[in-house]
Amino acid sequence: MRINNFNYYIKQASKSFRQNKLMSIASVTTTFAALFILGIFILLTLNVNHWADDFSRSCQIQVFISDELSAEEYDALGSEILKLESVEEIEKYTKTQIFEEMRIKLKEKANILDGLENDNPFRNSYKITLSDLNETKTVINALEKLDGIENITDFQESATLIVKVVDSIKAASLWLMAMLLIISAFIVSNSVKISVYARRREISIMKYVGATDWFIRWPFVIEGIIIGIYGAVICFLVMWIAYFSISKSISIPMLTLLPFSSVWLPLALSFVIVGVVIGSVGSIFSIRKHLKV
Amino acid sequence: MIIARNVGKRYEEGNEVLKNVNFIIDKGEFVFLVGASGAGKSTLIKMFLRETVPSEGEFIMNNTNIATLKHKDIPYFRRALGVVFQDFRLLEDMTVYENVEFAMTIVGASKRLKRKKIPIILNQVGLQSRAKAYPSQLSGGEKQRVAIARAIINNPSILVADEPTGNLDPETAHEIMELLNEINKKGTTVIVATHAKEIVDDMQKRVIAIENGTIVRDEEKGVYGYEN
Ligand SMILES: Nc1ncnc2c1ncn2[C@@H]1O[C@H](COP(=O)(O)OP(=O)(O)OP(=O)(O)O)[C@@H](O)[C@H]1O
Ligand SMILES: [Mg+2]
Repeated sequence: MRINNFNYYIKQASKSFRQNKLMSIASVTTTFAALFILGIFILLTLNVNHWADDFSRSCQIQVFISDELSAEEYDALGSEILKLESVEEIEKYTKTQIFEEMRIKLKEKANILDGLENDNPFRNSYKITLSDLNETKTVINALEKLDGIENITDFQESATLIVKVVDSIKAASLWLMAMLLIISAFIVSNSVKISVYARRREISIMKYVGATDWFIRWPFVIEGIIIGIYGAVICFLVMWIAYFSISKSISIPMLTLLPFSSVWLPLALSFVIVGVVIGSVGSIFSIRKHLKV
Repeated sequence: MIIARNVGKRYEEGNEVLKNVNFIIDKGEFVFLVGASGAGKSTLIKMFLRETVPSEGEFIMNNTNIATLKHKDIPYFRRALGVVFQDFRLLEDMTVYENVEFAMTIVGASKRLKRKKIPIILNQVGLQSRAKAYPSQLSGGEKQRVAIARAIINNPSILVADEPTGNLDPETAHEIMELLNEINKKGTTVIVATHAKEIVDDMQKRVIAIENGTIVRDEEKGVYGYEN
């Protein structure tokens, strides 16, 4: 693009955006709607990933080790568990630690543990965090084959359920979003088509004087981009307000929303990029026909 | 140089609009295209502009065969041409100055060159005092002068006009034709399709007459030869 012409392109584009008010507003609105769904998808994904992270931490598998193992054997078993596929990290949780925590949990009733210090009823253990909750079953099968493990506790069923629900929410919003993006590109394209029609005389004069296709195209592409950016900015502001009021009103302890400061960047970036893409793709389609002569 | 060799044009509906058209136009010539309504003048003019291509034969302008010209090269081909129409085709929301400037913007001319050249051209077509006027404030003759200024601002080697005086009274028509003649004298090849009998008879230029899509007469210092 010639810098010389940049001012000309911008001037033409904003002129037709204004002259074509009704359609411009309609296209900004549909772009807004499409981006709104996109925004919900992004916020949902970010938060769900965050919850899933939290959840998988609380979904650790705990293995209890037989008392017959020496301290060295206890350590060796740990490194063997760490070698298993899908095991992200392990945490040593000795019977002394368990005993102490129990004492704290029981508070004033802690005296029932008195005298048991030397005859600790608990077992040494490892807390295992998985990199993928879907692999819970496989990991448990592998753990069962190891020597020295007395008992395994897990949350396999609830883990798979959560994964399934989250995946289907993501898939549904992805389809809805794809559909809305196509619809809004189509509407932007129609809006720009009206601008093209209003300026067809000018376009034909331009062709006679020797304007290149891109010289003719740019103002319309920029018009589409202006539509996209308006939609993006309005949508961002609306989502910001909505997010704030929702995160205030949600009071389920497990499900706290991420702070807006950690979601605004991916949200804003994808709005601007998608807005610009919708706008320019829509307008390029609308002028194709007029460039043939 | 422009060469038409056995040029034929047939539209999809099958009617043959041009048949076996042959001519050579040298650089710097002034040529009138005459003929009854529907004879095929505008169709031929469209070939000069590469708006249409022959369905038979060859049409070669400045060593370019218009039929094999690539789409992306058409704009650059057209920059060597100026074009003037009967209906002026000015942009109503631009002033005289801006209408001319627009043609320079399209070819990427610098601001400095625009400031230097536009007043000279407006002066040449006699519109120096009307630079800030809008087309709606101009007479037909003045509008056509703007169109001519726009057509020659980028120094085309060929100027093509399709009935440039069709909407003008006889006196204004004479002035416009005289302006085209002056442009021709500066070296630009000029081709004019017209029904203006008196002017053609007066100016004693080369005349190519078309009937039913065929050239029936091609004379130096020719006359119009039909009754209007
Ligand atoms: N796009 C087209 N498709 C089919 N036929 C066409 C097309 N354009 C022109 N014609 C036909 O070609 C013939 C010649 O038309 P053209 O416009 O060249 O005539 P002309 O000599 O310029 O006439 P006038 O003096 O009235 O302007 C006419 O019969 C017209 O109907
Ligand atoms: Mg005609």
